Amino acid sequence: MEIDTVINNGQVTVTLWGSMYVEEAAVLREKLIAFMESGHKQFIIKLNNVDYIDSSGLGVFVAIQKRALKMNGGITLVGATSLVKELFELTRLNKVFVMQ
Amino acid sequence: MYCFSSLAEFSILRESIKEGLMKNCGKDALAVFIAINESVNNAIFHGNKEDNSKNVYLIIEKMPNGIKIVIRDEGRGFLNREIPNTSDWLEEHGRGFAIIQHCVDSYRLNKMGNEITLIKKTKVA
Repeated sequence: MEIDTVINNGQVTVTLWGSMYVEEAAVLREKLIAFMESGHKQFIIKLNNVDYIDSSGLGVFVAIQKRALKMNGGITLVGATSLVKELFELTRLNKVFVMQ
Repeated sequence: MYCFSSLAEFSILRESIKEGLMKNCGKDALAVFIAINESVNNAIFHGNKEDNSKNVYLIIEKMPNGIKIVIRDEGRGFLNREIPNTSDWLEEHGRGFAIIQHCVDSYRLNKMGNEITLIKKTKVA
């Protein structure tokens, strides 16, 4: 999985490519937590090119969302493909995030 | 049969398992792969508790009307594990079983709780 991050007006845009398994989820968590520790709380995560996220990856989004909400921020997920969208719906996490 | 003791070892096998399923299980290949991946994660992290001296065994068997997958770890078993509350969306863990159930037609745990058998009815080449 490739992870690209850009900061614009304090908002962090994260673009992901590939499949997110446990290993990649751990890397993403570290990156996002580092942003939060430096005061960032608004995240846009682009999923257009992500073909799979396992439950550990979903858990990372939940963990970050939980922390971001406490800081009055949050995650917006953009462009989830059919399988990824299905996984969010199946686990009812589509109600937890803004999904565009 | 596949045997591995760590996530690093499984990650090497993961793509070839996926390719094999794609070749042989048609439209259901992805669902079977997802169920295997989640079950193996459970076995490594919750079963063996990332103890690399313990193995995970994965058996994929063709059946007349589908595919059977057995995943066994060398941990103490599911009954001794804490099951997360998945109804709480703030809980980071505990979604794997919901995904597994969705992806296969049936699953069963052995009495000790360290082995899961997954059944998917599908046309296998």
